[in-house]
Amino acid sequence: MNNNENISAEQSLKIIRETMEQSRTDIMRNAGMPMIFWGLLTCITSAIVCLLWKSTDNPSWNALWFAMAVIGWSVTASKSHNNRKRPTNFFSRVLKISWISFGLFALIAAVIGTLSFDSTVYTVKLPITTVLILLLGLTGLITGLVLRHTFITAFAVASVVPANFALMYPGPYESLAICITSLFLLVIPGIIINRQYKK
Amino acid sequence: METENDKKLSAEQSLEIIREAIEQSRKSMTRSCARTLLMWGVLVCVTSTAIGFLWSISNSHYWNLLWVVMAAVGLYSNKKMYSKDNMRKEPKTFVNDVIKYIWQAFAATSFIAVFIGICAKFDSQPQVYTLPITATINICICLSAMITALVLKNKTISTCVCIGAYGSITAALEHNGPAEMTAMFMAGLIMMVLPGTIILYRMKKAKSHINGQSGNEKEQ
Repeated sequence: MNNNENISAEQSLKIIRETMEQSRTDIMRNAGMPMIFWGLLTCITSAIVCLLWKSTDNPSWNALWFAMAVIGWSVTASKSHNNRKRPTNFFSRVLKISWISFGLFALIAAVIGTLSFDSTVYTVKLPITTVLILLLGLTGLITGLVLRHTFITAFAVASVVPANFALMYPGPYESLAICITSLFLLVIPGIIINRQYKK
Repeated sequence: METENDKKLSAEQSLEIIREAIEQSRKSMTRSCARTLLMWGVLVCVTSTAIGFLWSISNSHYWNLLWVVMAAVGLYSNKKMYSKDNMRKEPKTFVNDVIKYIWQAFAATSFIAVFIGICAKFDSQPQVYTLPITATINICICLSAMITALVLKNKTISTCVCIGAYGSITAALEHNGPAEMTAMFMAGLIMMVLPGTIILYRMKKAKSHINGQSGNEKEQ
């Protein structure tokens, strides 16, 4: 009986370790497509916003980002509804929490940033694009570290560089900085993950 | 047949152990996280007060370099705290790893934000916008603290983060110069010191309650 318990405890520890590693692999197998989807959606939206803002000289086109969030959210929700039998684990929960929190804080930063351009509300202006790029980089970095994926971690650090570009060239070209960031943070790592794990 | 049964039992037990391990890890991590939050919170409050005071009397923003000293002191104290935990042989699990990764990512992003903010101020090619470093770091603290609270499923931390986020970000955008430090002070007090103290107080109360109950049982 005692022997059986010992074996069970050892097996349990081994199973825990294997399960956690398997969870990471499972997440990686399914992570590529959502990353590419959100990355491309962001790139397309930023290109459209840049073109419309430049041609009309009206920054109100930035409202298209909210439309993008709604479209992205609806597609992701319908996809997860179809794949509801797919098992979830601790790592998938952490990543879901991280990206939902990013969405929430991106919204807060956008609202506060817009208000800050009115000097009667705040004395300091908050450059929305730069802050959003830094928040994207922070969440990407957490994703890379949790999944222990060197490519995602390295690309997340590199993706923050356009934040300086957004400070130097405000206006329509700010959206191009977000386009470059999402390319480095979402699209390229997504393609690499798909190639690695779909073999 | 017997071995097959044993294996089945082991798999079921394993699932139960995994579930228990995650819950146990979350509980022990909440206690450890509360102590870390309290330590960093006190450091942030003391440093921001000192910088605010010295900046206002000397009119030099170079006193902000004290943040580097604070980071060094904090990292040293953290290491001491963790080595004490290791001596007590407290198990380290994936929840610990995740929390560590969140704050490592925050540290890296803050460093980049400070670098970009300084570049924007001193760049030879004048930039149209400057990055408000205090407000940006406050937003990053809020995001990291919110993810930590949700991973630990701790309502105390998440409530304090919501209140602190509004107060500190607003304060950082309303004030410029030495007064910016009030935002950092608020962030340290509301998002770190307050939840850390509440969690530790609750845990101490629960422990004394359990000790009291076991004492009564022994008497009976």
